[in-house]
Amino acid sequence: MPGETTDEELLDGWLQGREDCFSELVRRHEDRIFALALRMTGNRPDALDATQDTFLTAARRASSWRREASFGTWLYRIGINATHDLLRRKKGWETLEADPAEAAPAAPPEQGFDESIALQVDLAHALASLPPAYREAVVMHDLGDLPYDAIARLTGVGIGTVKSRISRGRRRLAELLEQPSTPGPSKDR
Amino acid sequence: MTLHPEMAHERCSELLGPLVRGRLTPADTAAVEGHLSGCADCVRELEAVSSLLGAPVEAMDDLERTRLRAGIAGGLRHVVPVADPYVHPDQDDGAPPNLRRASRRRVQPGAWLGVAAATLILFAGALTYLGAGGFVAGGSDQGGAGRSAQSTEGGAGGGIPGARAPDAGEAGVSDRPQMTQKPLIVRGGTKFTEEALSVLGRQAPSFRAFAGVHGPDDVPLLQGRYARSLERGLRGGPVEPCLDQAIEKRPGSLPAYGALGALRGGRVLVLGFVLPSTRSGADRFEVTWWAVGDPGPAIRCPQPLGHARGAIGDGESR
Repeated sequence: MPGETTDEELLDGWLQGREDCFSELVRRHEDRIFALALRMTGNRPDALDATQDTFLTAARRASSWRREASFGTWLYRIGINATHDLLRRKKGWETLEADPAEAAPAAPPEQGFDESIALQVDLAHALASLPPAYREAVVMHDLGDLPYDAIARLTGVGIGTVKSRISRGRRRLAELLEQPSTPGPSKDR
Repeated sequence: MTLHPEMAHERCSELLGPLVRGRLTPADTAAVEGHLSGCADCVRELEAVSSLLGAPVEAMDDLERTRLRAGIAGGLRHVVPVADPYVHPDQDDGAPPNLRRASRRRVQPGAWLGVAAATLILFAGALTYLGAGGFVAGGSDQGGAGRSAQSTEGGAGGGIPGARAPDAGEAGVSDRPQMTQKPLIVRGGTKFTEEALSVLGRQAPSFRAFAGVHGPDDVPLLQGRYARSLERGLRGGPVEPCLDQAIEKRPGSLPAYGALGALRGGRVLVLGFVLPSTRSGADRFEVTWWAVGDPGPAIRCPQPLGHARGAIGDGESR
């Protein structure tokens, strides 16, 4: 029963040709990868594409997982790479037009909006407002837990630039979250 | 840990993530907090990191989840795991040899742009053959699509009298099958230009770029992606059923293109496929189009309105 097995066993099952095993891995990790991709891309259609790319890349490269890190960590790294690749390709590739309502960040919360949802909406808005290079660096480092040198290799800039982007991106993000139109984050979160 | 006065700011910034994650030793925590007490910039950075790590995860809705899983399942069909313990996964251009995709050895990489152009040219020819001069991307308001829309709305510019650009919620064209009985090969005289592309509206440049940057190995990744993109445009139209239908009828065919268009005022779904040659002959392509006028969920693919096929490279497409 896939639901009772470990990620490692599921991946072994996939390598033996069992698609249901990989489907179970998708169910277990799809939300986390989607959240990462959404943070990096700033819009849901691209985040879905990046999530799909992540899992198909993982399926293709399943045998390269060396099992030194957890499957989730390995998959997360693939997710970062896949999303970065998607963003890079999009610079020269105008994608098929998405539903504007779907592509745009959610509307600012109204009075009485659930606070936890309000925070995630605010964060989505704030991240979407960041310059892409800042957003990518901040999400890779703070959410993806990627070290500076790895980000530098991925993005093709120096470590100093990476650090600078992260610092500036964070500060800008904090400013955006503090703007009067949206409630600021709770310190105790 | 000791924070050097000149490095304190940068070092503090580096340690904010571990601080929020609770990975710092008590001594490091104290040192960082000491710096934070006098550094407004680092406090701001800390607020951002806390927000990022503390915010609830935005979940997919049911429709997104369904689309994602369908896209992954579709892609997995092209990924064949075959254990091969004797070859290192990092060999062979980075793709694990035990997970080769069927598409890899079939289509020549350079063929994709040709397929793109040939598909467009043939489809334009097919529309002419069917007596439909106006063809616009659904809902487009810019570029070539806009020009096409104007011509069809006015019944001029080669369009059918009375034909018009479709609205988002417009009902479809007649479902009477109009299969073209012979391959429509356009030879000579047609160039792969922006003008030629404009008949497919604003999605056409995407296709050109698509063909330019993606190869056959990307098919599994792209399959669900453009299916989803089209679905968004169709608001639940029968993209995936039609995709499955076409692949089922032509085993081994590789989706190469998808677009929305209009034919006689109704919306049509256009899908292009590469049919890799089984012998030494040229790879072939086929483009099929369906009426997809009814918005809303569609679980069955209607009869196609038409199709055209040819060998890659026909029609002086490049």
